Parts: sequence; structure tokens; C-alpha cells
Amino acid sequence: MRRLALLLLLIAVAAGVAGCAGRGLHYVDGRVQVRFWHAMTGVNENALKKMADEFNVSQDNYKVVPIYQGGYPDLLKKLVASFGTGSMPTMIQLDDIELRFMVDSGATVPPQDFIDRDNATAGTSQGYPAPIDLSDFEPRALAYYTLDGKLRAMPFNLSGLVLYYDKDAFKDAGLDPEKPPATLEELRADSEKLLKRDSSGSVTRNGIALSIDAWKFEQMLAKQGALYANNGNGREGLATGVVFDSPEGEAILAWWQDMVKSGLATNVGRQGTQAFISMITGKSAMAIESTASMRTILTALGPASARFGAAPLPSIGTNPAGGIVLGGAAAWIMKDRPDVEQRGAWEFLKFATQPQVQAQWHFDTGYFPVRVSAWDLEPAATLHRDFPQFTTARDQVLRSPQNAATAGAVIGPFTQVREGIDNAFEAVLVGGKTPEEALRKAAEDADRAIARYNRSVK
Amino acid sequence: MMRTKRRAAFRAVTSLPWYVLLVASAAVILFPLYMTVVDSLQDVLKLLTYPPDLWPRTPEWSNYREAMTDIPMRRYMLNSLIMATTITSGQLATSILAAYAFSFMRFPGRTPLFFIFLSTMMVPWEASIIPNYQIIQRLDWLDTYQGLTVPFLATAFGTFLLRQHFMTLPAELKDAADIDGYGNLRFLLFVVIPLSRAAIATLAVFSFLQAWNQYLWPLLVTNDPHMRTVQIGIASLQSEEIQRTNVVLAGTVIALLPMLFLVIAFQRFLVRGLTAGAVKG
Amino acid sequence: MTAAAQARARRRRRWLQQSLAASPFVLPSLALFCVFVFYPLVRSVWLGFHATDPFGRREVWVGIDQYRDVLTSSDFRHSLLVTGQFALYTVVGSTCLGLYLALLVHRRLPGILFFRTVFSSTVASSVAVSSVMWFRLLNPGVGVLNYVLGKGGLPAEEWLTDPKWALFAVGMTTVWMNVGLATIVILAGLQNIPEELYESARVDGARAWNQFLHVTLPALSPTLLFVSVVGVIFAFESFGQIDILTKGGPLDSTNVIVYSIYREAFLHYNVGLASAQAVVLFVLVLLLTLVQFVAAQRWVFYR
Repeated sequence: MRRLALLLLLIAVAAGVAGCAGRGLHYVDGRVQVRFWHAMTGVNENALKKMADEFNVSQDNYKVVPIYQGGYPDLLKKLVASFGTGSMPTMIQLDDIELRFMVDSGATVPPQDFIDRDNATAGTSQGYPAPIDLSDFEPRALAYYTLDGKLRAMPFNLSGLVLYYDKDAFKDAGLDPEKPPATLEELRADSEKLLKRDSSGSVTRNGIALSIDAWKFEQMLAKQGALYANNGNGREGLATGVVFDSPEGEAILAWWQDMVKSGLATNVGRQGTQAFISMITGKSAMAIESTASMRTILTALGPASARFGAAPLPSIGTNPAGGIVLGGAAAWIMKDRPDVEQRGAWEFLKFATQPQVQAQWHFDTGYFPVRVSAWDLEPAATLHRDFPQFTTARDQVLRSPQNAATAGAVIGPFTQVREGIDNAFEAVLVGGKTPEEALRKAAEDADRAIARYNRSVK
Repeated sequence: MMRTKRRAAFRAVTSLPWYVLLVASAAVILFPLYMTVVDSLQDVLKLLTYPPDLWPRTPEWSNYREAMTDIPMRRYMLNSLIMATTITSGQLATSILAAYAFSFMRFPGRTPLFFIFLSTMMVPWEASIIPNYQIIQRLDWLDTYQGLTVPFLATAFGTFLLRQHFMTLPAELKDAADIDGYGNLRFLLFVVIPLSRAAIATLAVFSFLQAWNQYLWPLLVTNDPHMRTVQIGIASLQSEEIQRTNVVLAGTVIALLPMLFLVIAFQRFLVRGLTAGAVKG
Repeated sequence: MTAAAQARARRRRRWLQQSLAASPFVLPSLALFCVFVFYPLVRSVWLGFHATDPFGRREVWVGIDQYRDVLTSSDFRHSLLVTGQFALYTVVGSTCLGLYLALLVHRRLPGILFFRTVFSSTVASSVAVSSVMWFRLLNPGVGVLNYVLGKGGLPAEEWLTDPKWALFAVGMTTVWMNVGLATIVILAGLQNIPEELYESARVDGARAWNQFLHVTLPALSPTLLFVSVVGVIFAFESFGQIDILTKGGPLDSTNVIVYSIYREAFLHYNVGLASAQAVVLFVLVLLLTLVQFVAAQRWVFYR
């Protein structure tokens, strides 16, 4: 009996102690601790730590502590698990597709609020240093994260899709290494020339290694100036369904299916790394992948990196209204933390988005700077000199028109809808479905998921 | 003399086909493990080439050193060890106590209560993960050892197993103990447990194996890489460290070794525990 | 007080004393079961009646909508089919392979102990370890299994990326994982068959094959039943292999019910819908186990 009572007491104490991890302020060396949950690894994590250290050294009030919490899905899961507990962070980095989800949660403070506060108190005794001026910020990224006229999150790490291609392979096939294909039709034609077989007839090199990623579908749709969701991509009003089962959407799947079925492309599954491996080992001459790994890969290749060029994402046909969607990931400030912590997070974001800091961030990680003027500052300029592939990526951003299609879609259950698109790819590649059938199923499932989501957050 | 030699030769020849089958079957069963060991000793680029090597030309033993230092295998194994030991101790404690009550004590509602215990074996764990997760979440026990272990500290199977064994102990023992003035606790500690070492060891091996092997629950309640158990650690390394698959495979072999040792050393108990339900039906 | 009333009072006092004495022994287990087994079951049913918001903060009553959704949706029925197929592959596979291996080592030969250990060794390999090992064998493009099959003249397949083969591949991995256990149990069962049964069969002139059919199999039936019941439960609980090898794909061809529940609750944040699926899973497993026991009454021979 006594033993049982003791056991119960122990459990109660443990629970109590755990619960006391407190919602309160944490002070570290006399400063307010600002916890920043992020998904950066390797080189990018080091760059983030460096940025945080520089901020911490530059002032005495706050200490930003970056904490790695896994990939973006893990981050979101952990955030949702922390609602209502003391372990919620002050700031969290989440990928672009969580925009609707985070806004609907009502758990964040839009940067707009801080901007307005700063502007209102500028020049007065309670004014905060350096109110932010958004005019130099990358407008497309701001447009992505602005909903109903308010900036909801601060863009933090931006990337895009480019076409990587093997210049040596181009030369070997009699193609001009400085003229990569500008449209998907040209890509197909070039692939036919790049196809190489050995004496026994098996393919030793084909045109392109393709990895399945729903994000690519979104980008290719925007390149054709087409919408993903209704109500202006969910920006003119709440999106109630998707519209990607359109001729433009089908054209993407049809091209993909044709390339793989005719042997001009390899389907490497859902991992982008495999596509890079295929290209680097010479099995494929091209790959369409994110710029997020450009820095790591080009640095690893060293002088050999000159062999691989970068070109803007090819489109289907040419549409002057077509462009890329610049989402990437953004930093969100959480409302359920003490005001002084929120202010610390905001001060950090102001620091982090200064042109010089952004130029360094671009140099360290390859992510696009959030400040337009940062592109021309050192050390970004050096990066572009050493690896001209980055200049191509930059030009693609700066030339992209801003309209509803390139602003990006805003829907609640984006992860689920993306899974549907991944399945649609597989359905046309190995499941024997036509692009029209595959997209219709994906659209039906997406509509249902969006309806359920909208109903549950009303 | 000649007859025994001929008989021996005859037996050797007739056993040959059995040995062929045995060796062939063993080769098939061991093949995945064999390939893993081979790959763990290769250079990482070798793993990307086809056709694959079935034998490491130049074994890279450094992969094993890397597996213990560069990837957090030690931390993962420590977490698994703490989790499995805690669960095993908890299950032993609660089952011994409950099984004792069901075998040696009489109290109202004993039989219905025993069936209630058994009924928990009908509920598949996976059907209750969501509420269990919510409980752990609300207690703020995510990423803690408590969250990993507390839901599993009781086991109906263990109670059943031990009760089976306790029932085989002669009733006179209890009578003698009563006469000598032993309370229930003393009787349990000084008479029953020493006489049940084999059954308890069986349960211990079983519980430890099951706990070590858990996948879904640790996946849900741990996000912090420092709290990962070996199973989750290996799974996440496999997808995160693609450029170091050989080191990850070395880590996998390292993770396999303690279990292999446990199973081979404690084979007897394992067999006994598994057959407790089987042969009797 | 009458004598009867006195007797009743004495009995009640005795019951109270006994209960008090027994409670510290049963309460720990009972408390844990109530909190972590019974309450969650009830709460799952309750959650199934509510649609939850993705942030886990609000629940809205929707009645039987979600249950109806689950039972009529083609996606869930597909998961059911996949789970059933998977159970078939793994139970038949492990039982047959286990039977073969157990029979093989159920003889007196020098060194047989070594082979017994080898055949039961897969019980040491956990879900994650086995899956990582098999991923290497089944890996698209550089998988070793295809290479070996090719050498043997057997067809190579895209095991993990072809929706026709993915479930079979995951099944193969699971059979390998379970075969150690199956061998141990069936071997023990074989060793328990009394020699006299074989003696009388031999006296009756039965050859080896007939002995197998009329002595071994019937005597093994309780063991085989146990292996298949456990196998079905394992199959319905399978998660790790699928999470590591295929994540439910390709094209949901390996989306067993447990994986579907996990995905719905923890990746899509649809807790209510996932709970409805979980409750249906519980009812299914219950029914299946009952069916197996009823079938056992008809086909299993007890001595």
C-alpha cells in the first residue's frame, strides 16, 4: 500500500516538475532568451548560428537561440504539439505552404503589426531603433506572404527551380553549351541528341533525370501563367477548391510521362538527391532541381563545378505572364509568448534582413537575399563571380512578372494536396493513367480536403 | 568393424542432401545480413554502382569507427537502453504483483478482473495511439523518457505468463508461509520469486526485446534528435545521410549486435516464452 | 441480529479485508490499463464523432459523418484490401517458410544446433534494422536482389517503385523478419509430438509423406493456429517497414490501415477522421481474432 502511494506521489511530482517548465520568461546572462526553431542543417545551420551570434553581440537585451527541430514537417508537428504548453518557441521557420494554416491558427503576430508600431513610435522616446523600410525588400517574396493587405511572416530563406545541365555532355552531343533549352519542347529535342547508347544497345546517358516533387508542378504551372487554386489562387478570397486540373496542368504531366516513357528521361523517384547523383555520375545530362542545394553541390565540386551550367526553368511554350513562385520559407513570431520576447524576435528579424547580413547569408547558403540591394554587395558579388550559375538564378527572379499565378496559391491542407499531386505523377508514370484522369483524381481529393479544412477552422 | 564403418559411410551419404538443404536455406536467410555487412565495409561510391560488389575488395573498417563517433549511434543506443530497461523493470514489477494476487490471494471479483486484464490483449495498440499521444502531449512529456515508457509499464501477457507459472507452485507453500506468519509481501519476495526465476527471466527477455523493437510510439513522441531511440535513429539516418549510406549500414550492424547476443544467449527463455501460448493452445 | 445477518456482515468484512489486501498488487496494472488502454479506446470513439481543427484546439460534433465517411470511402476500402493482402502474404509466407525450416532442423544431425540458431536469428532483427537491410536489397536501380535474381535467370522488378510489386516486397521483408519466430514456435511444437504417434503410424505401414499428413500436421495444428493468429495481429499492426520502405506508396499500394491512421492524424492533422479509422481497425481485429478461434474449434485437434 505504501509502495503504491509512493509511486503515485512520484508520478505526480514528475508531472508537476515537467509542467513547471514554465510559460514564463527565460533569462540567459541577463538577457531575454528568444528561441528560434528552424530546419537548417549542415552549412546552412552554421550560417544561421553565425547570424544569431552577430545579432547577440550587437546588443544587450536579447539572446537569440537557434534550435534545430528536424525538417519542415517535423517543425510543424512539434509546433502544433506545443500549443498551450510552455515549450512553444518565440519564433519558428516554416515553409511557404503553411501560410494559410498559420494565419488560420491565429497563433502568430504578423510583422505588419510590428512595422506599424515601429513607424508610429519612430523618433519618440519609446521609439525602437531603425523602423524597417520595405521598399528594398524582394517584392515577390513580400507578395507571397501578404494576405488581406497584411504581411503575415518575414521571408527568411528563398530558393527557386533551375535547370542544371552538363556542358561537357552538350558539347559531346553537338549542342551549344551556352544555349540550354528554354522551353520543355526544346528540352525534349535536345534530349534526343543527348541520348547515348553503348555497343549492346543499353542506354549509358539520357537527357534528364527527373525527381517527382509537387512543388515543381506548382512552379511549372506558374510558368504558364496558370492558376493553382480558385479565387485568384486563394488571394482574392478564401480558396474553396483547386483549378490545376487544367490544360496547362495536364500539359506538364503529359510532357513528363512522354519523356520517361520514351526513355529520354529517368524517373528517379521522389528524392532530388538521386537526380543530382545521376547528373554528376554522367547518367543524365540535365536535372531540374532547387537552388537550395546549389551552394553545397557547387562548392563540393570545386573547379569541376564549371562543367555544370544553370538555366532558367523551361516553360511549355512561352507565356509573357509566366514566372516563378518565390516562396521558400519564412519566420513566424508566436503570439503566446511574452511581449518582450516577441520584440526580441522582431529586432532579430530586422537585423537579419539588413542588406549586408543578407549578402553574407546568400554567400554562405546560396539562398536568395531578401533585400534586392544585397545582390550587388560583397561577398555576394564574389559568389556570383566564382559560380555564375547564381547569376542565372538571380536573373530568373528579377525577370519574373508579378501576378496572381506567380504570387503562389494559398490553401489550408497544402501538404495533403501536394501528396495528391505526387501520386498523380506516379499514376501517369507507373500506374497507367492518363494525365487527365490522374489530375482529376488529385483535384477531387484536394477539393474534398480543402472543404474539410475550411469547415474545421471556421 | 567393417559394418560400423559402412554404416557410418551410409549415414554420411544419406545426410548429405539434408546438409545441402540446410546450407542453402541458411544462406538465403543470412543473405540480407551478409550484404549489409559487406556494404558497411565499402566506400560510399561503390554503393552507387551497378552491378554491386558481393564482396568488399578493400574493407573500410573506418566506417565502423565513424558510425560510433560521427553519427549519434551511442546516444541512440543509450536512449533505447534506458527506455527498454525501464519498461522491462516496470512490466516485471506490475506483472509479478498482479500475477501473485491472481494466484495466491482470494478477493471478490478476482475472476472478472482477470478477464478484464486479458481483454486488454484484444485491443491493438495502434487503435489507441491518438488519445495516448494526446495524454503524453498534455502532460508535456514529449521528448522525455517518461513519455517513452509510462504507457507500457503494465502488461497483461506478462501477468498471464507469470500466473500460469505461479499456479504450478504447490498450495502447501502458502499454507506453510501463513503458519510461519509471513505476510503476502514477504511470501512473494522470499518464496515465490526465488522459485520463479526462469519464468521471470523469460518475461524479462520478452519485454526487453519488444521494448527495444518499438517503432511507432517513439516516432510520435520524440522529435528532438537527442531523444531518438536506435530504431528511429537508424530510420532517420537512412533518409538523412544518403551520402553516407555505408556508415549508416555500419551503424545498423552495430545496433543489431546486442539483440543478436541477447537472443542467442537467452534462447531457452525465448523459446519458453513464445511457446507458452502455442503448444497448449 | 439474526444469525444470517451476522454471517453476511462477517462475509462483507472479509471481502473488504481481502480487497484492501489485494489492491496494492493489482492497482498499478489496473490503473495503467485504465489510463492507457481503456480510456484511449473510449476517447477514440468519441473523437471519431468530432471533427477537430488542425491545431488540435477545437472539436465539433459531426455525428456519424466521419464513421460513414470511413466505411464508404474508396480510399479506406483500398486500405482494407491492402491490409488484407498484406496479412495473407505474411501469414502464409511466415507459416509455410517456418514450417519448412522447422522440419528441416527437426532431426538429429551433427551441427544441427548451429542451423537452428541461424534460422531463429531473425527474431533479433528489429523492424528498423530489417527494413534498412532490405531497402538496400530492394533499392531501385542499385538493389542487390535484382542483381542476384538476374544471375539466377529470374525476372528483376522495380520492387519499391512499382505499384504492382511494392506490397509483395514489403511482405517479403516482413516474412523474413517473422520467420525466426515462426521457426522457434513450430519447432517447439514438433518436439512436443510424442514419438508413439509416429510409431503406430509406421506400424500401420504409413510412408513419410502420409506420416506428415496424418500425424505431424494434425498434431501441429494448435501451434500453426497460434502462429497464424499472431501473424495476423502482427500484420495488422505493421508500421515500421512501410514507413521506412515505401511510406504508403507508390500510389497507396502499401497504405495499410495503420499507416493510413498515422498519416491522417499526424501528417494531415485530421484527428477526428483518423480516430474513426482507428476504431474501425479495432473492431476488425477483434472480429478477425474471434473468427480465427471459431475456425480453430473446427479444425484444430487437441489431445
